[in-house]
Amino acid sequence: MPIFERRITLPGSERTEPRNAQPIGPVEPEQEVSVTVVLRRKGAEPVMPQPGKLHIHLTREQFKLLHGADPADVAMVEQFAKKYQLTVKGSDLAKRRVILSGTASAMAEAFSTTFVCYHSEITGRDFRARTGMLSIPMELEPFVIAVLGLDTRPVAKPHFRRRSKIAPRAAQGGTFTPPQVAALYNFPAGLTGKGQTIAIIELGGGYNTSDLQTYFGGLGISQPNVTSVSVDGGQNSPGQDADGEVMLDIEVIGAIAYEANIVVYFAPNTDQGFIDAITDAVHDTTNKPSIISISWGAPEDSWTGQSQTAMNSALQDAAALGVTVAVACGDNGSSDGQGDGKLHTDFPACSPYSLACGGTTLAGSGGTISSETVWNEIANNEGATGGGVSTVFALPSYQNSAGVPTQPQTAFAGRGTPDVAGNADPSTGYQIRVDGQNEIVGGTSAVAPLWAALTALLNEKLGSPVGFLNPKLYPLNEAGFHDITSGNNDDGGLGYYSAGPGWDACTGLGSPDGTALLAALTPGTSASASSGD
Amino acid sequence: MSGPRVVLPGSSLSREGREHWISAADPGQEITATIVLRRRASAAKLGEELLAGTAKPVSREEAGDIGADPQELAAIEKFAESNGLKIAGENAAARTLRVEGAVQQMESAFGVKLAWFEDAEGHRFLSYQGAISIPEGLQGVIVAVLGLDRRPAAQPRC
Repeated sequence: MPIFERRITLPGSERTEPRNAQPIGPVEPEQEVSVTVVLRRKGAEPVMPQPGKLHIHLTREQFKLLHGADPADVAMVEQFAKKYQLTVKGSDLAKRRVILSGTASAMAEAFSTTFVCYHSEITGRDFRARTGMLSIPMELEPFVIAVLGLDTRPVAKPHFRRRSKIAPRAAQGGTFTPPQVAALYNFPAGLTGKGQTIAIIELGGGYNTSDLQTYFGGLGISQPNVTSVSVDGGQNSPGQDADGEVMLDIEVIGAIAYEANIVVYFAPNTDQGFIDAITDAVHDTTNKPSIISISWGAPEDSWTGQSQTAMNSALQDAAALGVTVAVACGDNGSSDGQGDGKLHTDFPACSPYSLACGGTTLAGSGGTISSETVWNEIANNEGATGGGVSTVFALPSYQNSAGVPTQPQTAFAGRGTPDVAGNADPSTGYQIRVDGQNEIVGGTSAVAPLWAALTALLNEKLGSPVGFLNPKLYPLNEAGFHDITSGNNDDGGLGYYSAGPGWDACTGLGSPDGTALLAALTPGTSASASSGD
Repeated sequence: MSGPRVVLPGSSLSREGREHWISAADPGQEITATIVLRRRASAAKLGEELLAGTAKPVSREEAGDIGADPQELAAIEKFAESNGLKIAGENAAARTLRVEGAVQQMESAFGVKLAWFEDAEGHRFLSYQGAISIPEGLQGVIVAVLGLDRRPAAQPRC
């Protein structure tokens, strides 16, 4: 019989004091607390499919037997729960977890912690938090990986693409400031975005003006005009992980289109907040943005049908009103990080009304690109561009001749993403400033603001907004683009997708040649008729 | 507006064990929902025209021309008010109506039971089980009811 007397700390369980929150007192001892105990696998790690090798997918039942939790481990957790007066609410061998519930005081004793109630200055809500390490009885140590849910502080869950600081690999071509990327992409000279307004959608985080001053001062650029708009109670709230996203977006746009007005719409990270923010920006008759930059998304199949419909129709409004919406395609390759053996695109990038932005690995200096390939650093755990074929949205007419394949697993003739691309690999990433630190950041999150900034320059020069770009870009026959033909965004060994001449599901039409794109979009020119590689 | 009700398409939530129920929502808690309406009939073909690059440009000032039908907007106002919900804002051009009310009123207006849920990462949020329903007379008119499911929707792509 286990006695559960000797205890050991649970590795990786350390929590620091919550930021931007005030302690307001102890947690009610009788409050009901529910936690998820995550167990190790019984057998070996599942074999990941390898490119070019035959991979046999397991059934869910086979997976449970081979790679699930050990029933004996679950039984041990049940005994532990009993001793500490916790109730087992459920267990799942395949998912390797046991859900326990009990009073706050019983939980505190079971995991040797204390709870404090905090008030979040950001969300205005109270939450429960703990600090320090958890401990568990020795008997559980071999197989308990994590205990989740004791702490309910608001969590932004960014899969940030900050460049790895631990093991910098041989740099292909170093990292860049946004103006250096703009120079490599031959953005038209003498344009500043003057008279244009660019909206940025943010679902968390914030900016502080002193970082912006330091950053733009360091680049020798006058600080752009940045204002914020609150949607559904969302606020500019620096001090969160998502600050990296907010600062990347503002700094990429502001360093290139530095005379444009930048308006940041802060909304809660819910489907309502996200859709309301887009709707508010599209219909904003005060700021009148002609461009919207969105670097947030989620796999297409994680959305409910109604929110997808509502979001898509808000993006349709943008298109109708001549507002360009640049959207990041995701940073987890052709699986979009779902890990279910299926191919996924990211939404809202895969809306047919979005300018879907994919990612490349860029090397070069001055105005000369020495190489540019599809961003795929999955092997180094540094992501890969999203991209693929939607299983929800049908092939739009502007892609009729683009050579979009049917979705390989469902044969659906869907919308292909991305439309366009740009530098995104963290190892060739962007030098930015976040929360007082200089950092290198990448991700397709950088590509949406890059295209937003380029669009502001085009609008400035053309004298009117280019608006919904997609039907205008596809007939250009690659004029205005560097066609990326090397690399793939395969994740999970499914063999999809590869780059090639013309449109592909990794880099779309390619990365921009800004000056050539301006020429091709200038009315009265026939750049589109015969050019192209 | 009582009488027969229909399920709002695409509003069904399936949790598949990823999230668990924590507690019922406080019936008196005030929340805000966004109701999204369909486009007026005269602009029903707008989507296809945009994709084909043949749509006529519309200014923000003319956005009402591709917005909601005023009669349909009025019908939804009436529905909301008959359920005790307050109209917190509406925008015919944007096809949105923001309504405020207590959890209890939202539950009766949209035929759901609201509760707190928690996901494996420890996020807690208000949501519902099953699907939203609306009066049969508003079928097709209401495209979405947002704000009754408040799980984190998206991640930053950097």
